[in-house]
Amino acid sequence: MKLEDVKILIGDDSILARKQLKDVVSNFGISNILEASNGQEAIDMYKEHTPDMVFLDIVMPVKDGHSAIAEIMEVNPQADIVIVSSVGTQAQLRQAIQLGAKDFIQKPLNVRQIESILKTRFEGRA
Amino acid sequence: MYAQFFGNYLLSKRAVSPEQLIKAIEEQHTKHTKIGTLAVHMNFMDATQVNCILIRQTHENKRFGELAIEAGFLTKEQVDTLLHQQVPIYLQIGQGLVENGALTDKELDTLIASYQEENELSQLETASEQQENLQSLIQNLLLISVTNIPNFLLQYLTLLFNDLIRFIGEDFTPLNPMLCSEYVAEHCSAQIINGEYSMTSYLDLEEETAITFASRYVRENFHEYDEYVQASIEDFLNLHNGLFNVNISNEKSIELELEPPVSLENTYISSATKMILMPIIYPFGTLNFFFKI
Repeated sequence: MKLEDVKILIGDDSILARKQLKDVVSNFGISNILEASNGQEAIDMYKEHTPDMVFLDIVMPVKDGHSAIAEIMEVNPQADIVIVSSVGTQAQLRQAIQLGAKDFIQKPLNVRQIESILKTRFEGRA
Repeated sequence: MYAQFFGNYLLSKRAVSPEQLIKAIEEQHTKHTKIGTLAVHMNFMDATQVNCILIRQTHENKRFGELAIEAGFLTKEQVDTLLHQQVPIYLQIGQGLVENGALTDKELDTLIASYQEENELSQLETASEQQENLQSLIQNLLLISVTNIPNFLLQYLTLLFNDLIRFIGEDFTPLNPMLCSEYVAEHCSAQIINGEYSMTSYLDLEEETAITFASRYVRENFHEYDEYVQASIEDFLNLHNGLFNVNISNEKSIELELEPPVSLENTYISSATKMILMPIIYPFGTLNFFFKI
């Protein structure tokens, strides 16, 4: 799959965090980017648009990232969810992975880590 | 690393007033450090020799370095070293205080020496010794107004100082912490940490300060107070609190929980228990951190 054909959903309550991630992702040629500002919005947008990959924060109002992973996995057990959080404790990581997340990115954002995730998933190389 | 505490040391010795210190910090970025001040700091010259050259400079149209070489106070190599030397922040602040007449060169020199001696500062410390020293400097700072300081608060503030250096810049000075039970916030973000170490942390800024703070944090130029600037304050607090949770989890196997950060614009905040207010001065303005424990 070519990166320019990829559809991404970013779920984060911080408009700044969404913009920063959006800037990084669009630098790799991805322009189809959806934004959700809490866990519930992320679930609703996932159901409506079925993105190829979801970047999710954990600490969010209305519904947190963990609940959002669980509900999205119910909709699609193959969903590709990457957690992006400042709270990268072992316990958080374990819970996210158990719920079905494929990766965990500790904030502040590391462009190389995101590049590696995108290229491994969609171009089959790191 | 400890340059941040020099300003506070000057206050504790009553060598300068808070107003004089704040003025010197705010003027920092507009001034270049003088080669004479730096020469004294590096033990190339003493204050008397510097004064002697400064007097000669008033009637000879030559550079400080040239005259110091002619007088035999400095070698050409030393002048080159001084011109390429990165100036420590405490020296920049110190020089500002001298220029504003708050201190003489000699007083500054003595105060720097005693500060270094009292804090046993050495370039040879390991990273963990540096962190221990930083923690004890913060403890001393807190003891000015707070008794029974919980250990986790010390850890929290040590990380905060490291995060400020990492994400905003090292050119800050903490003022003495104060206890308060009410506060009127202008552009403030707050976040609750739940669990064994529960507390609420706040960061409040004036508008212009918030704009520069966000520009430094995001590494983009903001020109007006907008939702991105507001989100930057929240994001910094959230990032710092998240990293604190990670440290506590790794070191103590204690899991804390964060609530989403919230923005409080022009809000009156009160507390039944005393809050600890810790103002941090940057050349671009004051960051008011306060904590409800």
